[in-house]
Amino acid sequence: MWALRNRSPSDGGRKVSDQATKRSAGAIFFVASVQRLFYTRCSNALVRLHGNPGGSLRGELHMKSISETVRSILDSVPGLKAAVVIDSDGIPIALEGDIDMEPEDLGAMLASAFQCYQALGDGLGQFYCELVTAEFDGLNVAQQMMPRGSLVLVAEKTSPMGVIRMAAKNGRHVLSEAMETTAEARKRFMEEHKLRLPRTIAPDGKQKALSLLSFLEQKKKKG
Amino acid sequence: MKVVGDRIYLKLIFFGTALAGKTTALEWLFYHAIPDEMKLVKELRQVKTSFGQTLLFDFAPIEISQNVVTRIFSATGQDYYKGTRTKVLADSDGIFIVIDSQKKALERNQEILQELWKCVEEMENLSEAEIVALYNKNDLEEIHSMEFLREYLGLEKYDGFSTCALTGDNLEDALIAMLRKLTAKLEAKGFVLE
Ligand SMILES: Nc1nc2c(ncn2[C@@H]2O[C@H](COP(=O)(O)OP(=O)(O)OP(=O)(O)O)[C@@H](O)[C@H]2O)c(=O)[nH]1
Ligand SMILES: [Mg+2]
Repeated sequence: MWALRNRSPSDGGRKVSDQATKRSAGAIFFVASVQRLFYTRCSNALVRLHGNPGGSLRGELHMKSISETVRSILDSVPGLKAAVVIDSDGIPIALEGDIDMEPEDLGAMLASAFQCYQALGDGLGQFYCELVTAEFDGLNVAQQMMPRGSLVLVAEKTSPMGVIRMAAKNGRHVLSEAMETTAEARKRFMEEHKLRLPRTIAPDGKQKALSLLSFLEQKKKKG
Repeated sequence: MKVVGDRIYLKLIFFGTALAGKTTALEWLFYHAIPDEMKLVKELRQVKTSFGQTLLFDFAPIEISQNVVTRIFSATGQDYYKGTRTKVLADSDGIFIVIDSQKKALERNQEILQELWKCVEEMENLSEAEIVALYNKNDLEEIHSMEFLREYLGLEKYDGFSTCALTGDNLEDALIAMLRKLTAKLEAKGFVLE
């Protein structure tokens, strides 16, 4: 998951590996009653579940099955460069492949583009927008609506749009169930657990500014 | 607010009339107040009209702490694109209402606030959004005072800042006020941010 190529460091973009390290550093600690420890991969972060995670572990498994499914779609269609699942607000749920864009940025653009087509459909008296395709000079893109989000396939021009469209439709069927349950799992995940951010110590031993709020407050204090 | 994997996603939006200064305020904060290492994009993503105003939104994802990403949007103020404006507003955790303090903009401010309150009533979750008001263009001559606008527009209960988006006057304070509210809310929901 998150195997996206980032902008080259020379143009100021951060390397994915940097982000991965950062996200790993931001591992989540769950506090619960039973003593066993579970380890599971979630994004690039190692998520440590203390005790019986119950619904949450199921939630993580659903998340995992979404990215596994997305990976299998990517592997099975020749010429596909990337397959992405975003939720209805454009938050990236799963990304596999190779696109030169930040996941959150990509998600926001895709969700808005889709909302525009949806609004157009409303105007034309249509119930819902099922599929949007875009043909660029170097890429073909298909965005397939799913429950609570959409599946986006990005392919090289050598892959005919018909093939991409079929792959998107098939992908929808496989992913639909997992997407339905993810929303529930996520809600439970928030209700059941506390999220604790670890303190980061800079190389000089000083506490690093952890949040934008503390950064701005400190800046203000200094005048 | 959403939790995906190991991250919490928040959504902040600048909302207000056309030309009130939403884009300018977001640009100032993005390029002057937010440290580069927290930006997930190098430049603001902007979907503009051919004449430079916002068509759909300006957008930047910011990592406000290690596990919290805030997606900041500025919506379009032009009524021509009203249909998509409310879509951009959906699910916001924080709303900066940007008031154009110019006397000639008073009625337009009122109209867009009516639209906002209607959305807050009708759209799920929006009533829980934190609100901070920016009384913008405080550098101009023909303007109403913040005190007058607060009362006239019925915004007394919200934190308000008299701002100039061109110079960034009071924008950082407004952002601090918003971040404090959001942090308190996260903590109230049981997320312990250190
Ligand atoms: N004098 C002055 N001008 C401002 C201020 N803020 C914005 N402007 C100017 O007002 C004009 C409109 O600003 P924008 O930021 O594009 O306005 P907007 O609210 O994003 O407008 P839409 O995208 O159309 O909704 C620009 O020419 C800005 O330079 C301010 O505080 N003082
Ligand atoms: Mg604008």
